[in-house]
Amino acid sequence: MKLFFCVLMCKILYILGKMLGKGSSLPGKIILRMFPDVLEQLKLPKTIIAVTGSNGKTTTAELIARALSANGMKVGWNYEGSNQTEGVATLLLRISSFSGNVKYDAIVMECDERYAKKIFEKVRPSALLVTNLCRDQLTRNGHPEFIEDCLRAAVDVVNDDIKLVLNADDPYVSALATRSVIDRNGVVWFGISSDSAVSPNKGMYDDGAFCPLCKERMTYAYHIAGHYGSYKCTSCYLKRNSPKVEGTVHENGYLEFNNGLKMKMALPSVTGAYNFCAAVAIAEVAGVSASDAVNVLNEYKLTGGRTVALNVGINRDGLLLVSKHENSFAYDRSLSWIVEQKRICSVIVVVDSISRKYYTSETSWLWDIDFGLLVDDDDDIINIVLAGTYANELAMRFAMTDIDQSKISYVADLKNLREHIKKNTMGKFYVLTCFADKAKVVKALEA
Amino acid sequence: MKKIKLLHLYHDLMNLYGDWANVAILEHSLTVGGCDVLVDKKSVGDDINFDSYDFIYIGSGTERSQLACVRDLKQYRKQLIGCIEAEVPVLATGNSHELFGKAITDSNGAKHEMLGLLDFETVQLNTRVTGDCVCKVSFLTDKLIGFINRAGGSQNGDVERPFLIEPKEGASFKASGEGIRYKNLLGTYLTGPLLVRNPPLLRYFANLITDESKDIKKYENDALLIYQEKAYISAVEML
Repeated sequence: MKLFFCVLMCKILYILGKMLGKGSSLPGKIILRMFPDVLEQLKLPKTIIAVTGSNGKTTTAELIARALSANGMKVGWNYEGSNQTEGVATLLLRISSFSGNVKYDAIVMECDERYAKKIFEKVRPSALLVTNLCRDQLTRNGHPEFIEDCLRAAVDVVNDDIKLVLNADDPYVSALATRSVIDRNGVVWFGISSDSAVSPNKGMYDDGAFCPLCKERMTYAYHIAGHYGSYKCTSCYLKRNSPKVEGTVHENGYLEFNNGLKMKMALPSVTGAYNFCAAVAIAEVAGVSASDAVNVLNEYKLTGGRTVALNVGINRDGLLLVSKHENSFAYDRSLSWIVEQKRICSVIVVVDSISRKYYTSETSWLWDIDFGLLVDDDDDIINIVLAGTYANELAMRFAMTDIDQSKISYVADLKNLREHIKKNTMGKFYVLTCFADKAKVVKALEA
Repeated sequence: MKKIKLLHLYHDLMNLYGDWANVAILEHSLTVGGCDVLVDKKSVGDDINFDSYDFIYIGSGTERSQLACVRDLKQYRKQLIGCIEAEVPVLATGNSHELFGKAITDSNGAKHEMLGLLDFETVQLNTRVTGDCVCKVSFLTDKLIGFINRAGGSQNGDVERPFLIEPKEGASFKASGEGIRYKNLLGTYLTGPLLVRNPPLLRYFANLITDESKDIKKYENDALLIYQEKAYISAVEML
């Protein structure tokens, strides 16, 4: 009776929330407050895939759900991105029958890194994918090792029978695989090969300099991006393990796997390549063959979209690249991507609000971004515009690079950005900002 | 031209929140001020001769990095303390200032001996303390702004606490005195590019380093320092 009530209530609250445009975590939050143990009473499918990490959670969860469902599996996933315990509760209760039976072949649950342990105490995943661990939202997350410790505690909850699908190129993620897990063959590694056409920019800091486990120095045979690469601790056992699923990124946007399969990435990038490799590795764990998964993911376009075509009322292409504030790794990849396009262009960087809730003076992450990537010997980048509430902070940061300062202009008020771009920039324009600022930037720019 | 040598200690180990920018803006402002500035970056495995520096900086690290740092730094304990006693300006931001106390008890309860220059100990918890704040500082008239991002826990001991912090919206700490000050050693839980955010503190250290009584404001026809002043005024108003 209790289960019936919880499921009914969740379904009603979920529909009401959708109609009112509210987030998807509220139904789960209300029900868990009344019945904290309701999730433990559900009959869940055997295949429960948890997806966590600093970057690429939502994207990779979507790729996995797509790869599995297109191959005949009935998949439930928290596609709205509500990835804390409440969001997972909403997902499971809304797809459950009134008797508490979740008649699906697989669940794909995106999990917030800090909440993974709490979630696993209620819902035991059969596989855990960790995409990467980077400097991300440090105001909330502290630092990557703190998150690594949170995830280690989460893995401990389900240590005996879980399959870990880990990014072999990221030493922080590798550090989650204890010797006992490796010995019981409990890890599936994925990664990118050294033959890839990537720009191995290390950035402003070197999170691969020291072993995350023993803090002795690490050596690298090569770098892929940031602290990703082929590393080896000079003291303990931590090293890059040979990946079962390894992709090579080609210049033409193709991703070639070590088993000979090939696919085209709709938006070629190194971070995209990692997401695809992770999805293929998970698909195999869930019983879908790599070739069936690759067939589905070939030229697949994400529903959320990390890019938005812009029209500011002039006959020039504009593209908004959605990055993440407080995430220097994501910004560095977006900046590298712009440079790799080798187009005559202008670059507009917008930081208007960092927190959605209140003003913060915390801009240390701007100093971790390698804006010097925009130093341009070929003069492809004609103009740079720094915009938003934090234009002065951006100006300081850019003044500390070797970028020709005469290229740079400033717009504090986004209302003036559209006219400024029209009058003061040339070529294709790339606008770089965060999810948090996306809507207001699009509104300010669209003609 | 006055020659100035800056030492950025453990630049690749204790550099968690854009800390490098403190040294970069100091180098910039001293250069604009007419000094010939050399920056040395040293870390684990390097030979460090502490004799010749006019300023020493250490930034924030993870809790594991912090312990690795003190393991290495202990071999230079006498030299570093000699510098501090000789009134060389030293800035330790974030959790690096904990190294100058007697001990750190980590979140697992293990106690680690620190440099023991000052009479205080730190106890860490497996939680985080974060948030914006505005500070009054005993040796400056202007307010400072900053952000704290540290392991939960507390410090005890008998030391001068120069920063009176007032938490702002979203902060998970209370108003209190914090940090350490001894001669020209200044330590604080404020993280990241503190000298970038706070022109008054940048000027304070620039004047200490150059031993000038004149205010370095005279150099502020420099574009970067103008942006810095604007950003500071705006942030103080917003907070």
